[in-house]
Amino acid sequence: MIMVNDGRYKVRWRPGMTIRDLLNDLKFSFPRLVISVNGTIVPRDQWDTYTLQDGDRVKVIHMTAGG
Amino acid sequence: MPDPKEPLPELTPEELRRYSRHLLLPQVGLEGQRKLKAAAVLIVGLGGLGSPIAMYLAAAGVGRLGLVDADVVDESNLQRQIVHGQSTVGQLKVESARQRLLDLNPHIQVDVYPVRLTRENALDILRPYDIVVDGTDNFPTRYLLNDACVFLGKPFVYGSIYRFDGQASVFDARRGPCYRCLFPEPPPPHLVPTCGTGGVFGVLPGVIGTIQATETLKLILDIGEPLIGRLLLYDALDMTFDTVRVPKNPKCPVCGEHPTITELIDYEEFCGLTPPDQPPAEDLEITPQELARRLAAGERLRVIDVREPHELEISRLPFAENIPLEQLWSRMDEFAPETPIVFVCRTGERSRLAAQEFRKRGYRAWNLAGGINAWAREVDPSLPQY
Repeated sequence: MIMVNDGRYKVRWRPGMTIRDLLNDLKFSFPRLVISVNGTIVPRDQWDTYTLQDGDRVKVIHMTAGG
Repeated sequence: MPDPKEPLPELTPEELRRYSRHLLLPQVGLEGQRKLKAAAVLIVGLGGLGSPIAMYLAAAGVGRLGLVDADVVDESNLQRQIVHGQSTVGQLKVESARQRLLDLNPHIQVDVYPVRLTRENALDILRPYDIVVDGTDNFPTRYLLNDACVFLGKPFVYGSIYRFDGQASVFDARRGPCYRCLFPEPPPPHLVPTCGTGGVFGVLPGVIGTIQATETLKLILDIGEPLIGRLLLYDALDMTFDTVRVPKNPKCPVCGEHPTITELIDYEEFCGLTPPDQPPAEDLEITPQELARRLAAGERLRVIDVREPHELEISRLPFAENIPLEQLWSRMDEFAPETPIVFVCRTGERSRLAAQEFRKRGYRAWNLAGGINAWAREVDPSLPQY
């Protein structure tokens, strides 16, 4: 199981699952999301290759503009 | 940081009394307080974040504060922008803030810049300061500040807020990542909600701005563990703080190993705000009187209110259909290309994005200039403005 945003979403893990697969499963299509896995940011150019492990904690972070 | 070769300024007897609780802390002490007096900090934006940042840095005795903001104080700012007050509504924010800060601490110097920061003036304004603190409310200025700080080798104390969520970090490209390492590109403008469109919980900037002030003081004093290489995430509804590690991006176009951006660029264009194919704003706008005239003439047009449903409880146009902006993009096929559409929101900001996007796709779309608030001012004074 992959825990997303402190358990707000739970996604079934499968072997070889990449960050891109996870976002597709979640139907998250917003451009310019930032993703951290187990507390570290993973750059966008690694989303297709970074394979998630069962139990990984993923955070989906939005850019905010306000001040 | 203050030039270590320069001797630190002495504290006067009044200052020693005023800063007594700092002098008692071994991590600050007399030398630390003198470092604060020698420091110069630039605060860009005197809004929700800038208010607590400026007030805590002034109270702490930072010797020189620079304030940049071209706006004037509006009554709707006072729900969160605590450096301003009812008596300064209508004044320049930098002037309003200067009065409050010098009342809080007359021993400091406050410089004001009532201008918009641009690629032309940014480096000159930033250069005399040791640290730059982010109180801005938009992406173009944030990217501009980041790049300027990288070029000048200054720390950039970042903060941003939206609704109930806040973020903070310290970007110092000499010691860690920059803002672009974390956020290489801005989202397209029609998908960027701002506090002016989405709302903001009034205490939220108090929390994030105070964290930025804390980090600024730690940098000057050189104590503790700065937020360099870490992004702090605050959720006021869940009341959680989380930090994630932000690695430096070796391919970063500004601070990476082979930078491709080596001077300030056009940040409005970079953030997609002035693409060349966009119709000029005046062709997109329709005034409230013009809309009233066309409706009275029985013209067949659709008026779409793109605000959130709860905003309609405050004021609504009886002839408008409500499609919140977030749903609009997936419902474009419900519109006929030949029927004129007029988009409406509170002030005309959100609805302009809707009109622009629809125009690009060939629809006959306009924006109600000034939004429902302008309609209330110019056509139907029975509607409340908010």
